Amino acid sequence: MNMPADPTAHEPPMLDCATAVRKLWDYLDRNLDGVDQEAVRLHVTKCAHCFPHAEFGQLILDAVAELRRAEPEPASVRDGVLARLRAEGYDGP
Amino acid sequence: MALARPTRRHRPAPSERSLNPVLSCIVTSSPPDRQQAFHDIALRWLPDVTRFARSLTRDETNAEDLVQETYLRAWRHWDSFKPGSEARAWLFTIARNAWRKRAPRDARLVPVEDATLQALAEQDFPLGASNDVLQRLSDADLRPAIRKAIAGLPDGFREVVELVELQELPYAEAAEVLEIPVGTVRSRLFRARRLLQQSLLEHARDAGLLAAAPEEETRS
Repeated sequence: MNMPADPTAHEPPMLDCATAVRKLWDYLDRNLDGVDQEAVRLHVTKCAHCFPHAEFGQLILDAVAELRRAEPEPASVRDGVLARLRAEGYDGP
Repeated sequence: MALARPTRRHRPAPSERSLNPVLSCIVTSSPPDRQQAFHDIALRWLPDVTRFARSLTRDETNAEDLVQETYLRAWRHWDSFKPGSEARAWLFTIARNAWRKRAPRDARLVPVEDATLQALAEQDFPLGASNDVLQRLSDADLRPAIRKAIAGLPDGFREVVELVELQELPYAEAAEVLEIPVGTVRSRLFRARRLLQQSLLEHARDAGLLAAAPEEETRS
């Protein structure tokens, strides 16, 4: 007898909340292997408790990422460094 | 502990991607080339080293002094720089060592064990923020609040956030600079993110976002 295919047969098992939260940062960093990544994704998209945690985690990562762009150092820093280097024999650009 | 891979995605900085690998071959060559190599390989990281120095010192004047000292030491020991290795991490290490010698008490590390990470991670974080509040936070310019929150982190956490999150060093390189195990880098980073979340929630409360949300929910 042909049984109907189980549509969830290839899905990873549903994680519990504690495991999902423990793996949350690695998930958001995309540092998990494919199966774990998908398992956490499935959990946080379906779990009303964990979803805001994931959203808030991503919000923090996005906010920090906005600070990444290096600001150019003040001219006084470069001038000071070059002055000290030249006193030590550096004559480069 | 199930947390396994001590590596993190590495997103090379644009300047890193553009580094000419040939440059690393002339580090120990003749004096003019030595100077050119120092310029091309070491001085190109001046903005990053300045930023790291600011993070260490939390003081502009001390940061400028530290940057100068870092480059002076780097120039004096340029022959010991291994061609092909990560110059930025090397400079960060010099800066950190110089700072620790200058202010050892300020440079104390915060011990955080992996067990602590697990306990924190399993703890039910009191989010207390509705989707509406999260939306408001994501719409707001959080840079000043995050900048302030990072500046307020304990030294050991701030260093990790600076190196891994802001300077985008891989865990392994950050671990080398900080002279701590890779797992400790990871645990401190996660703990620091939790602290940043708490700071951001406090910021939201101060800004009235958390208090305002239930009223709006009641109205709707």
